[in-house]
Amino acid sequence: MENTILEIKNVTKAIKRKKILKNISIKIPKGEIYGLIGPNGAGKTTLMRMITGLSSITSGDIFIKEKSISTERKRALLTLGTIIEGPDMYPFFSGKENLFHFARMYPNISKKRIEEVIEIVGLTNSINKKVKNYSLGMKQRLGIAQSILHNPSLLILDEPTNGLDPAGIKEMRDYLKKIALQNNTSILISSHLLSEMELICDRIGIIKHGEMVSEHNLSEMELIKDSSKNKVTIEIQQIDEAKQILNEYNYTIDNNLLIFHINKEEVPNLIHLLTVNNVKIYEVAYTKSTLEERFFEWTGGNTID
Amino acid sequence: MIKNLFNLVLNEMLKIYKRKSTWMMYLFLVVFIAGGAILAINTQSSYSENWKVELEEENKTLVQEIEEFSGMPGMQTIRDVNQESIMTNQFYLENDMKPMNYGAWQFVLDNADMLIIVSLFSIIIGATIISDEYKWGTIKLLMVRPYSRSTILAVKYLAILIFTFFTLLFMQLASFITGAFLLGIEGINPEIVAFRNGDVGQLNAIKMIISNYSYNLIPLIMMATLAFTISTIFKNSTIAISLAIVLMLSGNMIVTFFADQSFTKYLLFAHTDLQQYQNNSMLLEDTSLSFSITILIIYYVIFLISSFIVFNRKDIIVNE
Ligand SMILES: Nc1ncnc2c1ncn2[C@@H]1O[C@H](COP(=O)(O)OP(=O)(O)OP(=O)(O)O)[C@@H](O)[C@H]1O
Ligand SMILES: [Mg+2]
Repeated sequence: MENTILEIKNVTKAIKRKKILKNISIKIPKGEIYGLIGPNGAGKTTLMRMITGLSSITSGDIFIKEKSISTERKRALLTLGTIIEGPDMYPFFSGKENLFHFARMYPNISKKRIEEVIEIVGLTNSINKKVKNYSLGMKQRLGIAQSILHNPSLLILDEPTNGLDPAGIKEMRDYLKKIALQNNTSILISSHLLSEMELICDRIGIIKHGEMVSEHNLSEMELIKDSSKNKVTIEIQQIDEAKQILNEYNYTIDNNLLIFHINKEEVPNLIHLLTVNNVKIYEVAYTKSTLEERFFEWTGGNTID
Repeated sequence: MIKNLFNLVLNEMLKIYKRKSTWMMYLFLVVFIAGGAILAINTQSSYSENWKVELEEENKTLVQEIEEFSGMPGMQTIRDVNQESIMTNQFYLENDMKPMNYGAWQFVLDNADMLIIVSLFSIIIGATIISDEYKWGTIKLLMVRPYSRSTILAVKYLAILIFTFFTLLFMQLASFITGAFLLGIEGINPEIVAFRNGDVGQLNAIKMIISNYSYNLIPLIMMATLAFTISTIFKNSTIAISLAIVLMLSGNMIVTFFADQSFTKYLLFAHTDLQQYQNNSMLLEDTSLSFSITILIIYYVIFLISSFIVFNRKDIIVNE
């Protein structure tokens, strides 16, 4: 399948006999943004280190554009960009000198492209400052800049929003979506900001204890199908009267709030039923369940072990 | 391909020369050289019209000193130096040549001994060129580029050699310029009367400078390579620097101390000074030039191969 940019095939990683990743398989097609989420120590960074050739693969293999990272390393890396384990840069170089340093490691990156990238990450004003005087967010922006310099077909981003201000996060989200759409760049991204992941990812994979727990599509369709998880809250005073009319519904009561898990389409009927029976409705709230709520459901809680 | 490699080397050179610490080394060198030149002004002997009488007087004093020191084993070096000076002076007298004043060429030649400072700098660069990348966390950004690990390591090693070459050149130039200003120049391509192979003769100054510096370059390169290897294996520059310096300074002592042991002739330090064959001042008896060169090559290859093997095998982990 030539449409697959990144293929992770049955990958296992063991360090000193301890299995850190077990049989992970992921396929990311052209232009897809894939999110890796999972609690601390789940193995997200380890997986990314293997994709980028920093760690050896214990068993299985990883292919970038059909080039194996273990046997065709150079050709696999030619088309990959990454930020991994924090935005470290040469402190005694200016931002621009850092970019030139990395640009020299690829064939034919023009000065114009470097200026363009500086503009994209919004570092125009501080690009000539030494990196040791950069804030965390500025370093993160420079990290993003070096990862996209050579227009890679695959971006591996380990917690790239770490340290960015809200404007920076939004700019990055917009930019990543843009290159995924326009340049067909495939992106594998990890983050603990689930609301952020929800906005940016097409698909997510959940890792726990080094195992792939599940994969989920975040497209509109999928969310509607899953809407039984959405919440409708109705505020009333006449709780006892309501109880008598609503025996066909599943709901919970919290003081004077009725809480339902139903499809949006059923809401008008419910309201109608209450009003014809003279139950006064003060407020109706419809909340889509967030990725965060579902995340805890999928991973079974917030604990690391 | 060649252009890419050039770019990789350029990157490494920029990382060395963009840092203040490197320029502090060069500043230190300049101060040291200037100090040496000032010392030379004060101690150089200049001769008047009466230079023949002056030379003979000097020889008498030297002979007296030798007699005073005879029987004192610790003073062997002083006696040797005096003996050399006496023979040199006699050469001037016999050939009816007025000795030249101590000048820039002579100063550059003598400064070949100061290569130990350049060694120190090369050891520091050799020991930090990999471990600094770990310290800054940039090693991972370096290793995800489309090059094999061996290429990246080889480029770094090459950078150490280029740095050594630049520093050497800088030192010679600085010596010559300082010497020219403070001591004067005697001609473009002068002959120097010097002691060599137990005999005194007239030798071309530039040839001697090249040969002296080349001989001194061997231990320098070996120690820088050793520092590079240790640092690649242990990712720790402190261990690498200390070990290389300690070995460099104590090498000769170790060899002399174990001179009667059979393993000694396989020690690296019995062979780093190839000038011993030219001057007939061998550290050990049963060695030869070709044996020494073989041993040097074996050590060199072992150092390099072990660093390449280790660097290729390990996972790149920054915060260990
Ligand atoms: N070099 C190593 N030696 C031994 N164990 C390691 C090593 N590197 C990682 N681990 C272990 O592997 C597991 C996965 O770590 P990893 O950094 O991949 O997690 P993560 O999902 O990125 O976590 P986080 O969300 O905190 O970034 C952890 O249990 C960690 O202790
Ligand atoms: Mg991580």
